[in-house]
Amino acid sequence: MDTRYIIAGISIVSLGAVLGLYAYLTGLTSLLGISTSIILVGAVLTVLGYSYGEPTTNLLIDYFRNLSPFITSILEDLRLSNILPSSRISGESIYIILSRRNPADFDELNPGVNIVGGEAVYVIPIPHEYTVPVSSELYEIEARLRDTLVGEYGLCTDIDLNRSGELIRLRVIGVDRRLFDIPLTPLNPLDLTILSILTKLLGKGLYIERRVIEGSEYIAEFRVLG
Amino acid sequence: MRRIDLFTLSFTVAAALSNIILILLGESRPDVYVSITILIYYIFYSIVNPFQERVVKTVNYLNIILFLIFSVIVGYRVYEILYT
Repeated sequence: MDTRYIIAGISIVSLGAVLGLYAYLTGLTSLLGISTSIILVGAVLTVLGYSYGEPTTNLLIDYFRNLSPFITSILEDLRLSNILPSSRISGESIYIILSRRNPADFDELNPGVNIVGGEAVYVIPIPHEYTVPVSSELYEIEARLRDTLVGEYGLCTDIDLNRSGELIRLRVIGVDRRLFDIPLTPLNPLDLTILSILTKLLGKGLYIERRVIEGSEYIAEFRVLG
Repeated sequence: MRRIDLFTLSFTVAAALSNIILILLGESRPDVYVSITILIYYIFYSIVNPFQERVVKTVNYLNIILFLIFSVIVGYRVYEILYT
């Protein structure tokens, strides 16, 4: 989706409609033809903007789809296929963790597969740049999350963030349909992206308590780790 | 330049030029403007396909709708010539 094209298209359609109305009322048939032509151009731009997907995005979706069976089989072997990911900050790094145990329990985290107390723990380090200061205000976190998910990634049309104590509830509205076509395995792009960005913004570890997909909405509840 | 930008630029410039030419020719039938714009759309869509080889559902619907509009206009004109 390219929102600039959609905005331009809708504006042109509106302009054409006003011009068409004027032409109809004054009986100027040639102007009516021009206005219909303008409406057509606007409609084409709107549809193009709505349908457009960056070629790289398609490549990444295909890449993930191809990689997904491999990741899923590894996670099934580790008995982690039904686990929702959690995050933890340790020193200068953020780690995404797949484990049946509380991620706050681990003293040492090594990237890859770890065995702690006989249980598999899968650890993925996330690059963490300390360029953005950690936010404490909810509206600020929401604005930054919106900037990244809507403005930078074009992942959705809007977000809604609520917090009550240590529980954060996030609604991601109008998620790109193509992301729902790919399997929502534990390491899917939606969970990983949202979790890692939210962790960076909060400066605290999180774990996903609940995650559901309702229509084109992604709804998740995160609990902040102490 | 992205293909979508190239397509949009070519299509809008060509559509504007065609409208100007039709005005200068004193054309007053609205359907002529519409059909020429649709033709221009198809010409540029085939030359500069903004979606390359990918099949995009919404654009397919747009193509079908535009083709139907064009067919109705042409059909009406043919009917007019034959039966009036």
